[in-house]
Amino acid sequence: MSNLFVRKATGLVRSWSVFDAFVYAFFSINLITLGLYSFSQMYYFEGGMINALIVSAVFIFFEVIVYAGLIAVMPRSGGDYVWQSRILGGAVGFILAVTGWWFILWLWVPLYGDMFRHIVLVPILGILGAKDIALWFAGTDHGAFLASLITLAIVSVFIALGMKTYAKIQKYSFYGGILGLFLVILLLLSGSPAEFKAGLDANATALFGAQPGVYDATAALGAEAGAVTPLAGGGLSLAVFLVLPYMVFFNLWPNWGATLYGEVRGATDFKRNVAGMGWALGITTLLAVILLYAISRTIGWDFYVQAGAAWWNYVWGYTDVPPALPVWPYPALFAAFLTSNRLLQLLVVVLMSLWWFGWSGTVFLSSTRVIFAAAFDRLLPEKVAEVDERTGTPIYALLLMVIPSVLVAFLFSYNIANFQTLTLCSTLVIAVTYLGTTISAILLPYVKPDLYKASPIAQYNIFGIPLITVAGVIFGGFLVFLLYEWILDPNGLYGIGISNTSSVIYMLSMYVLAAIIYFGFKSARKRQGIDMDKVQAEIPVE
Amino acid sequence: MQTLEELFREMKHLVEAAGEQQLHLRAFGGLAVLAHSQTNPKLFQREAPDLDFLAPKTDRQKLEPFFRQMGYSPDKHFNLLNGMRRQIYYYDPSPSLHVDILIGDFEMCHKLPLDGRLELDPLTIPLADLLLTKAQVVQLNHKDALDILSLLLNNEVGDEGQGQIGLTRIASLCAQDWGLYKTVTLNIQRIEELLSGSQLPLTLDEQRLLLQRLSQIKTAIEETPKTLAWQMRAKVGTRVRWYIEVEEVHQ
Repeated sequence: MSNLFVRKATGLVRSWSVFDAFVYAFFSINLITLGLYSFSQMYYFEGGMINALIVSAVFIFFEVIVYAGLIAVMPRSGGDYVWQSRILGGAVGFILAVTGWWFILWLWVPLYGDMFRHIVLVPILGILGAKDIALWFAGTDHGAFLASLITLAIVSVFIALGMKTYAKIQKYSFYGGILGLFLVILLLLSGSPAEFKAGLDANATALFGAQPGVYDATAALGAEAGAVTPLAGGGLSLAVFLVLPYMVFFNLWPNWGATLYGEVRGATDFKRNVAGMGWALGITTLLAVILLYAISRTIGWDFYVQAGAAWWNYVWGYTDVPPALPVWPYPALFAAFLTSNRLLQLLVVVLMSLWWFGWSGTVFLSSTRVIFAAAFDRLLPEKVAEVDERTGTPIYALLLMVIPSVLVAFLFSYNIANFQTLTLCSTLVIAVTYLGTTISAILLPYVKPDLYKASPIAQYNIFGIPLITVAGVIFGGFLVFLLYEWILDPNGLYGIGISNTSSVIYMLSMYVLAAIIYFGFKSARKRQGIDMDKVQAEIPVE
Repeated sequence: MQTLEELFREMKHLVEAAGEQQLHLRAFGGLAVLAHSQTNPKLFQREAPDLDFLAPKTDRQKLEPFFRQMGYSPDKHFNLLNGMRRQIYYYDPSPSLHVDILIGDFEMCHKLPLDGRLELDPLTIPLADLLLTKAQVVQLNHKDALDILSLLLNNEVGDEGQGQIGLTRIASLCAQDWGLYKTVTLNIQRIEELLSGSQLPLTLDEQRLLLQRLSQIKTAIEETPKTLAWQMRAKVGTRVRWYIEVEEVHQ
């Protein structure tokens, strides 16, 4: 009987393969959306971009180890919420998880919407000849708000389609997006600065109604705005480290699938988890270096930084002089300008738009699992963990995401109460959540020794200290540095710290709301005879 | 509800009651094997099998109201995350009994498309598919092997329309999907080895009959022309995993 196996427990095919999880991680640190969007804003730093990319990737690799370890020990839907509530306690777990995985995502919606208009709508509409609509989306508050509403609609449909269908969408987007990026790099590497200048002047005038001489005018405006960030340089100096708190807006998220790993096949395999997230981080970093090199070779690094400076200096209200180029300086569009073939231009921007479509579901998909996990612990009404029978959509969980997002998108799009200065809050609040999870990881071998010893990560030690603890200390130190820079902001570089009243009020109000929900539900459940401490001491079933 | 007879009755009762409400529930798993092993059930060895069903995608939203009405409660957590493809219900008076329902196609180590096939048999999925649900298991255990043998001992292989195990169906699925072909042929070999070194309670005639029916299936699989995709995948071989991972989960 040696050729037969022993198999006892229930067989379960989880929705996602490890490759699906890799693609989700790859898109979560999205070079084209998050990357190019933030790079264009980072025009006033003195440390080299490539240095900052590499240094941040090294620190974030320790984040990958921390999360891969926790997933291997407890692969549960809800991720951070389950780990923190079971290791640090219910209150900390709930408050940190819902702020970082739910409430702050309301602020991410207008950011996704902003990237949607700049990366998808404006380039495609412009090349198709719809100049006025393109400019309306590119440069008006109404355009920004409508882009956010369209984003919400698209994302809601993606969530309704379920994990498996979404995996297909992101897989096709991945292949198409990579092809698009290949074309962009090819165009950039085969073009010359002179061809780019001529192409920009001709196309920006024809497609977007820019005045002749747009290249020189943009460069002048950018220089005036203080564009100085170098492509590389600075070694490991403080100047490079000061770039990191901005850089992580782009690449702090290879673990963004953490809350979904209850639905990923083979999630108890630590090495596979490291590989999935680690390759996403490594490949993205490499692609970023290649793309930035290609940009510097043909577009010209100085011009690229100046174009970003000219755009954001006006958007952020530091000048009344509108940018000479009336659309966001999108390198893929610039690359498309290196050819005069409209069809090829369209193909490039359409393929590159897949970077947005393959990524857009990340704004809600991970969050829904945290809401479900909290509802199963009875810290939210059971209703939010129900699906609509007809469509299979978690309609109430979606509404908890969508309705506040509309309000925040409105405030952001029309810059009410300085909401547009809060961009980096979106990263700060999640970093606080990650810090809670990192502390959980550091403590795991000591607080839950039985669970840890029975797990596949117990065999990994460094000088007798558990690897997850060592990685946690390094990544935790990195997070503390980031939080120090963001909150105290001694060099005045990030604008979301204690000097920004809107930022402080917005962030504090989220923690207060989370605490009210937690203690309110805990008290209500107590009256119903349910002891929440006992509920949250149990590890949820798979 | 603990005995095999009670469970078998419950399976039939659920399928019939569902049918009255236009819900096309069909059994698979151990009890379905038993349903097709009535002539000679000696190889069927199970004390308390689960109730396993398949339902078409179009009937998904009818499942919860139906099972509630029949005295079952949904596994809310599981159904929330997996309900589009699979649902679990517990029998309220005896929660150790649970119903496991796959929705749409059968998908474990391999996918068996079942669109339009749930009406071919009044109680279970068609015999050929039932056999394949066992033969597609990469980590085939003793119980799975006995289920396959039990089906082959009790049912002729040949024309599905005649109530036999449909050779054409098995062969055509294996001709489209190299992974399924690989696992099924591997398992046929395992079962032949089990039969040849056997301590199974079988007469010589029964052994001969089983070997002959296995051989018929093998021949049909090998002789059916393969698709281009099959041939390309065959060139890659087992260097790349050819099956979907099925995890052991303690619910």
